[in-house]
Amino acid sequence: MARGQMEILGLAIIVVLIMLGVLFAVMFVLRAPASNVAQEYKESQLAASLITAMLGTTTPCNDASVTELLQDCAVLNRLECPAGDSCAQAQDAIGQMLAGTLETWKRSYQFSITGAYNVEQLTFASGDCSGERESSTNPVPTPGGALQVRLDLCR
Amino acid sequence: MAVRGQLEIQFNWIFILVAGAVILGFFFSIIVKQQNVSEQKLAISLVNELDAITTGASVAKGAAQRLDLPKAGIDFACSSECTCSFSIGKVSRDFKDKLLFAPKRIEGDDIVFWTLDWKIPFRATNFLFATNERIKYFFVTDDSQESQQLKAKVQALIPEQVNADFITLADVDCNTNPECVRNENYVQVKLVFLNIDPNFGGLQLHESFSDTTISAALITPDYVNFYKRKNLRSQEFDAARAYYVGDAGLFASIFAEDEQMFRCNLQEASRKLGYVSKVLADRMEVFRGDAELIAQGCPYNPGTLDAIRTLAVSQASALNADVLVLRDHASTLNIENEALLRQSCPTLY
Amino acid sequence: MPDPLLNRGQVKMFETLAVLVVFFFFLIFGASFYFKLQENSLMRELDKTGQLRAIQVSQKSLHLPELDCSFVNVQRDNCFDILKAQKFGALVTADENALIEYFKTFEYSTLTVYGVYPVPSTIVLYDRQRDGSVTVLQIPLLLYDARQGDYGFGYLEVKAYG
Repeated sequence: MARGQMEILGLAIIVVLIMLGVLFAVMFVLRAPASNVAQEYKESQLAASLITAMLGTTTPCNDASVTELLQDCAVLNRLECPAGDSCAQAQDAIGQMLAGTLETWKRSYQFSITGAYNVEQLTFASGDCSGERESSTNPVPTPGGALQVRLDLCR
Repeated sequence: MAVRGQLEIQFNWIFILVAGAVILGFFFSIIVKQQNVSEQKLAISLVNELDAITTGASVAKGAAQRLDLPKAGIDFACSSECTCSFSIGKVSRDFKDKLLFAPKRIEGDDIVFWTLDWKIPFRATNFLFATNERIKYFFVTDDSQESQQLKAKVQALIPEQVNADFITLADVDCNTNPECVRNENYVQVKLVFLNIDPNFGGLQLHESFSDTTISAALITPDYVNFYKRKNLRSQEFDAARAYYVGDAGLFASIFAEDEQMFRCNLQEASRKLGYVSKVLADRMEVFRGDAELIAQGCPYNPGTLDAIRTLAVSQASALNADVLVLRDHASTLNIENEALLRQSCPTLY
Repeated sequence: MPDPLLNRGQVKMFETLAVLVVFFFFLIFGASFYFKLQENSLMRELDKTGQLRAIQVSQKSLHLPELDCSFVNVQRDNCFDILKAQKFGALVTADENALIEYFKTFEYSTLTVYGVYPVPSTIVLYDRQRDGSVTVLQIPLLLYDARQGDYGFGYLEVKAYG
């Protein structure tokens, strides 16, 4: 092959190599995920702080907190409340709080309590929860064993 | 023809040299510019991270935290107009709302942050202290009651991550004690005299301190004198006095680089105290107008909170000995608050 | 008859120039790509800084003595005193010096407390807006009323402007 042709071929190979390099660089940059620090922070503290705040809230039922309502609902069911009994009052309170927060923000979630038959009827859910979840569980002590209050935030 | 050929070769070489020099010069200039940009970018990133870390540290009360330190070290300074900032390399950032007490420069592998509430008697703000193991604090005490009380207070609160020792005057003075303290690879040393007159003229420090950055402070139950060595190797110190209130104020005088940093931060703290006491006073007015609380006989007295607020506002402009009166008001407010607690009334704080 | 030596020289010169042209073309092409990538990276960094600032504002507000629930100097986490919040919001609105002072803490942001249960309510604590990106955070809270000694439920909404 003539020398000139070989030099042109060399130049063409360099052009191809550079193009490949640029292509890889562009792919790498386009694939890099955008920073989501705020979302990660929000997810990590939302479920836990929501449960803690809900359990500490005072209700119109003799100024009992939601924790106290759940304890009464689970074991004795003695309290008489504006909404009926302690279970109904807890249902009403938790429902309003979840509606005013997660449902207003259009977040999918599942809320449940385990540990006693009465409280296991208190379940709330909204949206599609088939994907990843951020969960938090809080124990509520009762004479018959601890209740587990669980909130799953779905993505 | 041969001459022409020779000329062509020489011209070719000249052309190669010139073109090569231009290309190399072009790339070198890009490299140098990029290096500067990268260094600045790194410094900005570090300053941002440190800003976030100090925010987190200032709200995390109690335990001291040890964190990695950038190799460039961190410089802290407050100007005479009370613009306080920290800087890494050429990039600096204002303290903004943080009340940070630190030496002029911290360098090494890590930095220790510690937060303490400033309570007068309610929490008005948090003080943030910074140091590391390469900065040594010698607390010099004697047998007097005030000195021992100050020592007990410091010992009870100071975290173990702070490199501190409690010694006597004899341990400092090499004239009288051949076993006097010496420099063990400390970058900075602070001598804190707890209610003892330093008398620098009569003190002889060990020669290992001759090239060390040394500062000193005299702390009494009411005020602090900041001493700065006139120059390296000098045995003479310049003095500046300031007044402090509260345990956090005491530690502020220990960790602050100089009187300027201490005063600027205490003035800002007083400003915050003014706003906090205003909010508490307005809240108390609600209690005073509440029919149920009136019927209960809850004793709400606006005088003390107003006095704290007035004093705090004045100290925010100029810190002086009047700040000590805050202690009396704090004590009175504490008594009033306890009375409310005993009567099951909503407390002031 | 054309001088073959001259032609050869011209061809060589042309070849050298062609290589240089292609070289500088790639240099400019590469440089523009590089600076575009740098710009992209910087925009992401700015966005991350904006988000970090929102988190910092929310952390600071949750620990402010002007807002927190404290009982004889013992603070309760994730709780605002509703009376303090009302008075603080009123102070910042009415007093320009207070607005300037708290700008150091909150910068360009809007802080609003929403009461959800038992009684809905809204308190604007601080409001200083500007154009640009917005990062929004919601933090559930207890809202303590010292008069009755009871806790309501609500959340703090922080909008930080980039």
